[in-house]
Amino acid sequence: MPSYFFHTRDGQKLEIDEEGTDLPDDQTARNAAKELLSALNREKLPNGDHMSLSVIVQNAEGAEIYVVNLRLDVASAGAPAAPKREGTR
Amino acid sequence: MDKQHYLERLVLKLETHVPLPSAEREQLLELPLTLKRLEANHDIVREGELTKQCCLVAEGLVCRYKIVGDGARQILSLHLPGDIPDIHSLLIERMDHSLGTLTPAVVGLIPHEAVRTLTRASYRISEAFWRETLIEAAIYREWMVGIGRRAAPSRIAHLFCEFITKMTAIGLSDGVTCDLPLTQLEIADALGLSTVHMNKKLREIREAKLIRIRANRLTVLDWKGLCSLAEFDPDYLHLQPGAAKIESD
Repeated sequence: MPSYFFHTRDGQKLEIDEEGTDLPDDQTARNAAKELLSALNREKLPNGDHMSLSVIVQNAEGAEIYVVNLRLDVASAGAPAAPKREGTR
Repeated sequence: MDKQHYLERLVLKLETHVPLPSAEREQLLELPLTLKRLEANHDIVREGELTKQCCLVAEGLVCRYKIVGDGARQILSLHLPGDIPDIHSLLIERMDHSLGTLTPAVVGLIPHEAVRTLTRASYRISEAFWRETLIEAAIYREWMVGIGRRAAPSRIAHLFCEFITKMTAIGLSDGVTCDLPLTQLEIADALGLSTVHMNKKLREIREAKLIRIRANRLTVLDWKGLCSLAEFDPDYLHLQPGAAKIESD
């Protein structure tokens, strides 16, 4: 089974997955990335009102094949959320 | 290994919770047992089936599980040698979950009738089995709290704490190291985590030097640290003071 690496980014903090996980194919890796992101989201709440999480999937050949992003902004009703700008990766 | 040896494991398990008088011990050792050798991932009894016998885990690791709509598996409990995970089938004959092996295993099948005769003859044996099911319920409560409320690293650490504590109580661990014949997928299925999430968090626990896992063996490097991450308090396992408990140094 091919290995996939699931790097994560929390704001500016990038965590490199060095060990990887064996999964049958790209589609499974894609779903796993979404599942991981939603689990990480639940885990990280409720630290502050802004959050930006990403999972970057890299295949065994070193190519980045998917990026999954999740953003959370909490604002008082009436005052529209000022989007917090993130640098591009 | 002979039947006697496996029945002694049953007695040992019961006695981790409460000592038994010698007459009761003898009666348990005389239970009829049909030994069956099973491959890993083999169903012993499936959800919906009616059963007329209970299953003593003699060797290996057995689990209760349920499969949900999309095919995902939730492992409900882990059972070590000496456990009778379907003792409740004595009173509730239709299985509301499945029981299967996780590793190659030896199980001893005991006809319900034989257990019933024994429990009717001795209130102490009745109470011992009743207590087993109550403690199992306590373990379920702990798992429920974990799956519902604990963050993944804490959930994983808790499983390790519970596993090695139970292994130590039945004499299969020295409290520092024990066999852990579980794949990461199986651990993830027991904790309600995805495999990738589980891999990531397990790595963090290893990197924090709390445990080491190598060739299906778990070694605790920092018991206090592991318990603290897990919020593990072994009280819910209701072990006798005599049953080996792990001391933190």
